[in-house]
Amino acid sequence: MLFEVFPLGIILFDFLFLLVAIPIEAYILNIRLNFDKKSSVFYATCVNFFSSAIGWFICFLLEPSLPETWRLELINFVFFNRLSLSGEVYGSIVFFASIAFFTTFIMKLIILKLLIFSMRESGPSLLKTQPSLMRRYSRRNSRAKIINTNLVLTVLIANALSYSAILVIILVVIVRQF
Amino acid sequence: MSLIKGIFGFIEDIFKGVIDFLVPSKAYSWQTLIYLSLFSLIMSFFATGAVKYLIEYCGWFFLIAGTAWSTTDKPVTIPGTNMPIGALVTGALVSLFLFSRFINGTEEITIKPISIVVWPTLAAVITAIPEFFEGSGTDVKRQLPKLLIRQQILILLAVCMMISCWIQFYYITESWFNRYPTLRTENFGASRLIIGRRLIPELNNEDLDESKVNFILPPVNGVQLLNRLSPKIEKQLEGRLWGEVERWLLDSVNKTEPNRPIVKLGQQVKEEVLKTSPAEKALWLIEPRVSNTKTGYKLDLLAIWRGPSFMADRYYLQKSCEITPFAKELEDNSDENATVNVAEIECQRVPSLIPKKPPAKN
Repeated sequence: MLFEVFPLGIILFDFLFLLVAIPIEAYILNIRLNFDKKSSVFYATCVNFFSSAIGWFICFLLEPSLPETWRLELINFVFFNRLSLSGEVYGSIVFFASIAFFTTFIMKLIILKLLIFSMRESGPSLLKTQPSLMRRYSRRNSRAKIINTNLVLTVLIANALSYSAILVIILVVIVRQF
Repeated sequence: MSLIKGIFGFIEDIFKGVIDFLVPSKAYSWQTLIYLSLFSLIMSFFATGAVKYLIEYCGWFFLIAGTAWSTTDKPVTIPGTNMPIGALVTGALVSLFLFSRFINGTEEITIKPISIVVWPTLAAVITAIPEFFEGSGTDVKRQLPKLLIRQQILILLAVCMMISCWIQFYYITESWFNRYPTLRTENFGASRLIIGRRLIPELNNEDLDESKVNFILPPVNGVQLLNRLSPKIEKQLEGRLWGEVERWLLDSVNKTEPNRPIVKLGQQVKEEVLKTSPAEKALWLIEPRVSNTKTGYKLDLLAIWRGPSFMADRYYLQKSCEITPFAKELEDNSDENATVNVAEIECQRVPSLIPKKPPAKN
């Protein structure tokens, strides 16, 4: 047999989460950063897919060194949709979910900055600042700072909203199960 | 006549097409590279040592370059995306060469999981590479692709990376099966996150409620544990004095006794059976249950699975042994009627699976 089992459900859920997160984040980017609709969709798509891929990658790196009991818990969840009801498990789920939130926030911020950098119109000549125009440079610098804080806040809001939407979906799924 | 002519003409046309395809019109073409690769692969067959590898790697290089070239001429893209099918083919060759041949370094090519995992991402990268160069053939200039194309490339790369991750996740689940082989025997029909078998149970369960049993075959490791354990116990008890046997059974279920015989034997059996899957050692629990019968004792050997299972209550495997006293004549005694009670033990041949919580300890 080619596949003994295939984690299709996990993949579809992951895809569903991305499909929910992308429009939300695109909308936030669109209204807060004044990107046009098309490029905000592009930024949201790229940011989500890349950060998700990096997140998976981190999980793959961590998996071999998981403690045995955690791995069994994970298998129980993935294969049999069941979580043991101990408080320890729920506590660690909440703990790791919050870590995941902040990690994805930082990743999304970095990826978005890289994307904006790579989408600039012409070559690196734009980036060179003329040392003779110090005053202008400093003014520009402060303006860049404002843009920067705005960017951080926007990504934070977008991430929070998309995480909330995903949480709602998960809750709906759990409620339907019982 | 004309029919024969027509048939011949038809064959000739096919032949011409094949020849046109196989014989390049000029030396500088992709067919040349493919032929070079074939030539190198054949030559590497006869060479030995480092030269063999050198020639073979050259062959791989020509093959990859030739494939890439042949597919870039008129790219056919996968519907709905901007990824040419040629890039997929080239990516497959490159990742096969890199991860299954070059890094692995063994003689024969076995497709490694990493080759398949990296394949989509590599194909996306290969799709992107030509966009960074301008011109064709000998005159090549570096360039930054246009904004729209850059966006397309990045989205393609992001999606392909996700696909790679999903494939890798499949391999992770596969590795769980290798780590805990007993999981292979579960029924995944009810799982929502996994697609797997929905098969009918088939096992020794005469006295069981059939609807409760969700196994397709007995958990191989657990059955083996019990099948190895029972002969050892038979060997220890067979023919021993009845009093000793009673003592032995009592010791086996006595919690305060430091070296309980069955627990000790169970440890031995675990070492033997779970050699290839040591992670399961902590998940199988071997326990005895002893009860009185009219004629003697009933010893139930349980192998309790404590790992993940489809059955909410988990399950256990059971093998029952009947131990009865048996009067044996003493050989070295002058008195003909002098007998001594020795034990006779008989165990079930096939363990049965019981999808319930194990009975309380005694």
